[in-house]
Amino acid sequence: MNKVLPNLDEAAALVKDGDTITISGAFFEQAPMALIRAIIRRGVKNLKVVVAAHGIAVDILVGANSVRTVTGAYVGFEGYGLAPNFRRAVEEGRLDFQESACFAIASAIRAGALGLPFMPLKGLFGSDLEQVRTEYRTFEWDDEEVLLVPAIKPDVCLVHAHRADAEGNVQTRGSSWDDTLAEAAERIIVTVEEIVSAEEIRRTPEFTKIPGFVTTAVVEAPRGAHPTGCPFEYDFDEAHIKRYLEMGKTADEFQNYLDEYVYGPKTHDDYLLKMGLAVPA
Amino acid sequence: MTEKIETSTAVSEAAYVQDYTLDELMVATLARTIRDGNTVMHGVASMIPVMAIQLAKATHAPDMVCVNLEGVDFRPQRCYLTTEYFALGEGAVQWMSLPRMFEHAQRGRINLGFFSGAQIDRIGNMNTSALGDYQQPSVRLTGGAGQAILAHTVGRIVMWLPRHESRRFPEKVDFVTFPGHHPNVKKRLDKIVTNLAVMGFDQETGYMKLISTHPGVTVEQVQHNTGFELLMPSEVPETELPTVEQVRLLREKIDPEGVRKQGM
Repeated sequence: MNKVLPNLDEAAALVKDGDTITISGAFFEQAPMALIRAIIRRGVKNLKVVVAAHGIAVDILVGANSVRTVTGAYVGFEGYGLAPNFRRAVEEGRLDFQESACFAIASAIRAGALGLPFMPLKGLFGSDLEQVRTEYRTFEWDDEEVLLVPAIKPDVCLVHAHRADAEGNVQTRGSSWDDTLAEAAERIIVTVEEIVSAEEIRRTPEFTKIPGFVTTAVVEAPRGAHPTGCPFEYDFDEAHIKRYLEMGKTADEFQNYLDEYVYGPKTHDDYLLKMGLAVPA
Repeated sequence: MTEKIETSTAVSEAAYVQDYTLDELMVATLARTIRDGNTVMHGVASMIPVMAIQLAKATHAPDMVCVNLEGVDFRPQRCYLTTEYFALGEGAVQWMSLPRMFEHAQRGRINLGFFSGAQIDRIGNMNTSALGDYQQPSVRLTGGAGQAILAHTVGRIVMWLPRHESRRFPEKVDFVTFPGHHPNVKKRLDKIVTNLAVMGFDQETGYMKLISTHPGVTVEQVQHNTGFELLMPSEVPETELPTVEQVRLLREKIDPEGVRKQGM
């Protein structure tokens, strides 16, 4: 079945107000940023974002008032600074941050992917996170204390990957747990650097992370992770990250960022042109 | 997995360098906490431990293996101010994924982990979540990523805090992201390396104790910059200086761009 959509707007339309979403990649790599910009342009509201550790992908959605809750273990820009919109929204009491630990969230998503009600794991004990994550339970097994985290089954998983065929068989290279993220979700929307032939995918099935029967939609978006990077393709745009953080210092100034980089360029092609990243035909 | 017995890294006086910077001393001191054969992990935003790991591998711990969120046994050619990025997986023997590093730790295969926080208290609790009231924080920090889990699953824990100040070393942290006091965690806590000193924990009380002060730093200075009373041994030696070879490797091979300075 053909899963290819002609543009990001049609893909973004699959994300509804109030959806629970997960996001591929990490701080500066393989975040589906072009798709996220399209979701912001559509004015989607009240998203419940679930991530282990992320940076700009979460912060830009929060700054655009698209988010009601964030479940996560780390939201920040590592050595570059705190996440400006995220911290402002939590400090002003506008954002509900449901804080946990990376592996607890990854395990909850894995339970979702496996069709199980919960996942057992070790740890969290003695941390104050035990007090704030009241949905977690503990269990004694042969004198060992085990943590039980309830499954997370997101409505939508947003992925940026290297390539896919028209049937939505998706391949990535590098570090990723996109397979688990995708399998846990109801609708899986994937942007790729390049759409390739089915034969091309079948030549290297070991790189296939998400099979077509799991994928909902695929859109070609070269440089679609920008300003984050894509392994073996391109590095993250450090200068743009610094500009983002500078313009994120106040809510007013961040509105200018959104106007310039999100609302201004109406399509991904416009964005690539503006950023000087247009890929020659 | 049991650790190999620590081998002496003692060097002759002549091999120590006098011309070093504070970041180099911290990196060298952290590198010395790594034993040959260790399987080691580091967290996010951990440029100082990433340099220490590479330094240990290039000197006294050639059989050490680093497992991070990107890859196994990396050979990074460049480092930005991020330590969860594919540049730190390049040259690795295997790409990793976020859950897999935690799974290796849970299985007991990670001997040593490096952790940091905005605050640390007398019993080793660290806060990376929020300053002030948790529900209405004055500063919402990043969160601790994997800390609350890894505190229980990594064999030995070394903390690194580049700013040793009393407000960052309070009697009690505002929020316990990393649990130091839990009976299962307490025995895993090894050393704390700061810009002023090296500390550890008393095995019985679990209280923080001074081990050594960095050259030019007095015991009084360390206590003055700590918001609780440190346990004091009768004699406090000076922290071992970096060697000529350690500093040369850092400057010429491992970190010629000086990323370590921005990691402080």
